[in-house]
Amino acid sequence: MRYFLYKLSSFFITIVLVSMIIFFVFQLLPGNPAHIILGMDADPAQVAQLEKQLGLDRSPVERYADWVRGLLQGDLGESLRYQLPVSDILTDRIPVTSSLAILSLIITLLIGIPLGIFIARSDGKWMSVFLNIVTQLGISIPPFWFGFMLILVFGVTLQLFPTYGYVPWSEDFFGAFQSFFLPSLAIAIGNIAIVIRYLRNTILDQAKMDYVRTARVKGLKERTILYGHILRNSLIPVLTIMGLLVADTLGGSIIIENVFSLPGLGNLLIQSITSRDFPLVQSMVLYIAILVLFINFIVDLLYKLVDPRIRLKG
Amino acid sequence: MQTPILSIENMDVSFQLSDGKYKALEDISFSVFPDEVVGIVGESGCGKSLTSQAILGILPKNAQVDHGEIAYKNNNLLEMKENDWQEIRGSALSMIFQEPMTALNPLLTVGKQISEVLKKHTNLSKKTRKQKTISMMKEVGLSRAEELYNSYPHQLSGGMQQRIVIAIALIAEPDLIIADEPTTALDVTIQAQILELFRKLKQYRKTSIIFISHDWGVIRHICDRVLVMYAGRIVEQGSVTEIISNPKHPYTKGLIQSIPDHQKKGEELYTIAGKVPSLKERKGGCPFADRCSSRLDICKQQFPESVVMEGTHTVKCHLYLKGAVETL
Amino acid sequence: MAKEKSIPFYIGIGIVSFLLVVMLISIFYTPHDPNAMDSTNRLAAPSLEHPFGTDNFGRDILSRVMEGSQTAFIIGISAVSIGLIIGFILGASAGYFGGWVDEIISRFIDAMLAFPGILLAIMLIAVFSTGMTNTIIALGIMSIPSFARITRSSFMQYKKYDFVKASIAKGAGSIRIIFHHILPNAISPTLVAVALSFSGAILSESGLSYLGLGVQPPDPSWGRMLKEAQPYITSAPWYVFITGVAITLLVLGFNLLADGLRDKQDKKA
Repeated sequence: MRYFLYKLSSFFITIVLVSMIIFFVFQLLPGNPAHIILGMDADPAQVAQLEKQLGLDRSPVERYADWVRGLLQGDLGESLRYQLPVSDILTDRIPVTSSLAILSLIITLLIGIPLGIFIARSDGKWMSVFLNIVTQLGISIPPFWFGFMLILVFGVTLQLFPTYGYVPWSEDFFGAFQSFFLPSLAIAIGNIAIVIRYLRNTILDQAKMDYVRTARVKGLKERTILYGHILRNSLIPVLTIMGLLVADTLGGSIIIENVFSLPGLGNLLIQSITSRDFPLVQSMVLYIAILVLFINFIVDLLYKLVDPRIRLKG
Repeated sequence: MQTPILSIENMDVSFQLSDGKYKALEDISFSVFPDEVVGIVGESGCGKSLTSQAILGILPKNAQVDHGEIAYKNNNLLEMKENDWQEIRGSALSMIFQEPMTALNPLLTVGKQISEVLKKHTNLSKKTRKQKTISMMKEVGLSRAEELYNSYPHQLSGGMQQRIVIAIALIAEPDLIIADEPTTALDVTIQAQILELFRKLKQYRKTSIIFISHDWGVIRHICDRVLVMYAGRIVEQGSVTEIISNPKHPYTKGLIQSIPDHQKKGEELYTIAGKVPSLKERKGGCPFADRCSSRLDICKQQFPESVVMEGTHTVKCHLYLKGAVETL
Repeated sequence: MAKEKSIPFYIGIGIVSFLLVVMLISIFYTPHDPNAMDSTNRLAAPSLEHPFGTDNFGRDILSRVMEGSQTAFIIGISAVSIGLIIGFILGASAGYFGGWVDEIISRFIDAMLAFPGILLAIMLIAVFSTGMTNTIIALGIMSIPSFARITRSSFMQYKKYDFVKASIAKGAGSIRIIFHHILPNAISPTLVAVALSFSGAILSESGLSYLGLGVQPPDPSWGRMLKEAQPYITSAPWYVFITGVAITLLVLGFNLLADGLRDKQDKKA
């Protein structure tokens, strides 16, 4: 319980700090933001109106307070370009990015965990050198370029998947899956390599533990020892890197959405930067950062719940 | 004569290290008879644990039995397939370890860790397995067995954890249990309780035990027979009373002399000078020669044959070989 | 054992040295002028004249990839230097002073880590606009946390050690303690972080430039080239392929180097 309160309070403190950093950075826009947004030869009356809309006639502290107050009421401000509340715009975009992220995480675990186990079982000297290099390669490939390669192989040559655009799940489930599959895989490539490396190391470490010897003395089969004893102890540490994986996935989706023209948050973010829609950019950055913090917070709690050594400490 | 439960003949075990092959155990031969407790003593690094690992077929990956025979009731274990080995391990032969905390899987309930053995080796129903597990837990002295069944190892004290480890070893009613320093990691009072438990087991269950220890007090209380190991060899064996009252090998003498004794209170404790040679330091001849105060010229050149002293008491030392006395 | 383990490390050194040599050569010589357009020879397939083919303006891809390596190294070195210097100052202050200084700096670092992937860099570039210098600054800031963390923990760890306590007791000045005891021990983890941040910066730069938020023309950049190559992915697949291979190789080289350094460090510990 004390642990929970500690994590909760540091979660909120970090959110406040993040919001301050974001707000502060956007105060650093060189020159008059209204001019930047509208261009140098804009109509002075328009500039004055925009300044008022942006609250530039008030002090930064007041503006920060306003922004936070708005946020707490679910008001993320208004987009300049769309002339719509930011929250309305995000509502359309979130399902795309979250589908992408969730599918990518599923692919990561579905490929990474079995491969990690398989690889931990085959431990020759040269095999481990080879695997080290291959997994490092997975980490080193730029995901968006890997996306290109997937498009080239599976989209263009084999024509198995569409190469751009998006179908909502409600419209055509299989079509949606197809449209998300390649981008999800592209994001997952680095994370798969990370999971494989991490899981292999924890399995090899756990295999040296005394309880494994006990299990062997019981006469259990190697399979039973691996799946019934070692794996359980190896997967808990993997949970600790879940937060990292989620952050990587969300970060990766920012670029990948632009490769596959998926109308998600990342796609919107880049468009908003190009069209100088600063209120939208500011709110989106905060939104994504809070999402990552929140998921990390949950993962932290989950980790403690899964491990009886910590759960039952009282 | 009775057929032994376990008999080992001329077993050699070696390690494959990066710079070559090294013999870790040499010419190990001994038997364990039904209902008998055999102690193995020696300093650390003498191969006591390695011997037990060889018996159970759980040697480290880079170690192997080069030569010899390990027979369980006349079946040579070394010729067995891994599957048949697994059938014997845990049901006919089992083992108790030194560190109860690490010997148990931290993420499984202790009840599951005990009943798992029954699941592997019997066809009992889940319910019966649980009943048997709980009565076993009671037998090893865990009175609140029903409650403890679903607890995790970290929730128990060291002594309770060791009782769980013992229950795991006993649940399938094996013919032979190897106890590898089962009390060393425990507090003194808990040690006494666990030893008491072993004495009861010896009394009520007809199980043979190999008891590895470096504590002569423990050996004297529990064992019928004792083997003294030094640097991968058995240098002396015989009945406990015979060895303690009349040790022959200089190493055994040294070990017994270094037992702390109330009557010698105040005097400096005797220790054997030097240390056990590591695998790579071992040369031909008697490995104890460098530390031996009664060393002969031949000791450094040749390892002595076994000499029968009296009954089952045998020793491997040039001092007792014919002809040796004359050169003195 | 030691031998096999260092193979990836030597492969890493090999890759990085190779690309370093290519980069140095490209300063003085490229097979063609990287910016010379040839409208008669657009998107040409690889040939003896153009081993990696030509791009959509008929420019020699090999020459452009070679020139792009300069940008990659400049960005890597500059961004890592910024991150190292600022990260070191922040981490050292946090670790050395402890207390509320540590609390504030650590919170700040945690907050920076809440920005996933290149989001922090994207935000900074959104505000300060694109270009080589701003890309370097943004990537430099992004790499601050890892250096700050390492320096902080080195300072905290070695402050506890007896030999450091003894030096303090002997009246040795703080500067002396830092230079004699703390810094030598912080070097190897910092080297690992340098290699990792380098590969991270190159990966991020390619992503930013691909999005049009990084290096701008006429500065050459691999990420930028990928953006230009994307429309021709079916008609000139080698263009996309070669450019991506260049990025992957450089990133892989530094990652293998970092991994090898970490192994050596673990062995020493």
